[in-house]
Amino acid sequence: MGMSQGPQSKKNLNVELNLLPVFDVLSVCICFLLMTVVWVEIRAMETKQAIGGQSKAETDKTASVWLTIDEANNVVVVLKPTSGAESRMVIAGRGGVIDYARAKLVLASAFSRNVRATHILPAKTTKYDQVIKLMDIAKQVGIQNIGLSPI
Amino acid sequence: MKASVLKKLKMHAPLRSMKRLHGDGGSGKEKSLFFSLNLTTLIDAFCILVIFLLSNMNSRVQTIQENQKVVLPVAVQTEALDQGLVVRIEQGQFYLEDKLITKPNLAQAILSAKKTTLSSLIIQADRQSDYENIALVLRAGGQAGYEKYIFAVMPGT
Repeated sequence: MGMSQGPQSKKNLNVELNLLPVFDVLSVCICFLLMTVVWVEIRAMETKQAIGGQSKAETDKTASVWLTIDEANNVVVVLKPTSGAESRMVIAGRGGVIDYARAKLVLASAFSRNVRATHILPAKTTKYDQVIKLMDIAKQVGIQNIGLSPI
Repeated sequence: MKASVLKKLKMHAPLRSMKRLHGDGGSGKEKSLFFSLNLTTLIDAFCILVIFLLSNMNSRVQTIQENQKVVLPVAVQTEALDQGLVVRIEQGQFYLEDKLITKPNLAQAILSAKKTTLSSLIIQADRQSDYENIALVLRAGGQAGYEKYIFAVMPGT
């Protein structure tokens, strides 16, 4: 696309850029970023200490569900509403592990009754994996405020 | 493209002065052995790759070392790992920022390692660990004044 500047002038205004240095810089950038990228990302599950973290006066008076796991992996569910009587039920363990399907149903039912907090009280021998799964189920049904007892 | 870079390179090529290479077999008009590659599309692809990799980088997020001996539990509802003091439980032994700590000294070690800017304690434990060990860390963290506990997990589906 030349532009004539006079009758004799036929100077080409096209410029050719040397892209090789750009190419080099981009290659180095890609190598560095590929080497430093985190392929397997470790995620997080947040909680707070359920008991002993605050004074009784500071404790919020909200409806909550307490999940006590015994050594046989049975879960005792106690629903504590803001007013009225507590309700209690037991989710029996299945094959030495917590019955997660039933626990999910119970937690979903509690969530439908405006329960937004849960406290988990595992036994000494409860496996960490089971505690995390129970917390995960609580989060899946919508209960975000999860407390964990330090025994 | 009269004044192309490649043409300039060709004029000063040492092979040309030696007259050993001839594209047409050595007779007649000399044929250029240089060819031009259109690198624009390649650079476009590189730029997209660089932007993608840069956007995936997040310096604020804490990265913790993955350990072969520690198999993390899997969870679906997870968040990005925030910054905090890392306590690793490996085969019943406690490591505070990769330093072996005995059980009786755990609370004291967490208290002395507590940084004012970090308010959370990251627990990296094997999925088969007994809760007894986790509770020890929770109690020690409570004594040190930590309010938020972060469990390191692997993302599940």
